[in-house]
Amino acid sequence: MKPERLICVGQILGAHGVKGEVKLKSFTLNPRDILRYAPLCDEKAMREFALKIRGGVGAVFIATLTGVADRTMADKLKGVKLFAPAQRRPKPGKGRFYLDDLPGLAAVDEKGKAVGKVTGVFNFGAGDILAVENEAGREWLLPFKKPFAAKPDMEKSRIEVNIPEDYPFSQKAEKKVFKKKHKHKNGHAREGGHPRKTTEEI
Amino acid sequence: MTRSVWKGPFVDGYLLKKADKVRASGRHDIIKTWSRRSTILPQFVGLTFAVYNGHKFLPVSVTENMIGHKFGEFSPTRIFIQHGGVDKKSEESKEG
Repeated sequence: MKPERLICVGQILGAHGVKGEVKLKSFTLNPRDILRYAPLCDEKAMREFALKIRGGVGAVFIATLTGVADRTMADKLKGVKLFAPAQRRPKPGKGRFYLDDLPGLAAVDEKGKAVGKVTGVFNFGAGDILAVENEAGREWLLPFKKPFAAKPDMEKSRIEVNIPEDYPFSQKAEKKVFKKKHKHKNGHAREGGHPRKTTEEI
Repeated sequence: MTRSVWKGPFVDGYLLKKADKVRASGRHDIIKTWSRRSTILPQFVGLTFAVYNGHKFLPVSVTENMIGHKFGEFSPTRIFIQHGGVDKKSEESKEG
């Protein structure tokens, strides 16, 4: 059976009071929406928590979790991230999609020829970045906007990308190639320096 | 201590030349740069730079609210693991 894909919706910041309540931070766009995803689980889906929120400020709530009765138990949960199955997310409207769903899509060029696979979506404050990697280990980081990337086709699970010829890329497999090329005659892969002399040569 | 106003913003000369060239061509070329120290100027708005972070070139699409910041601020040098924005949906039209 294929395990469910989990998404992180919150994190326990620490214990609150002596009755087993915890301080909880919600990562959802509307902080109170974390309740919609309950019951939540930990990263390995080993423990399940039903959630009851008492109060809070902004995205930080005071909450009660099932099975957590005192402060000692609450203290042990400090830093635990709370997850929910991705299927519980509301369906995006027509023509909309979750950025989280993009990794794994096939990247094709304008003629429909396979370029690689989407490996991630990042944002460092200067627009969304689409990471595309081909089978040879070459990775391109493309701005997620026209003319570099078009709207993804979620039904066909593919996205059209336009990578100019001189576009910068990084090569993941370069180091391995270097080692193979410079293999020493004794069979040892040496990264640099003088070749080691054998006992016969000395 | 902040930089004196009379000096004006710092930009590497070669980056200005590159940006002018791309703007004049009217194409959507990406400008590869190692100059993380350069300030983002109003004439860079709409252009896309690839800023080196010591490992990779990260694309930086310049918008109006980035003016006055340095390029390096948008190309982090250390790995940053983001938690998934659960309710983050992308807009239907991604304008170029």
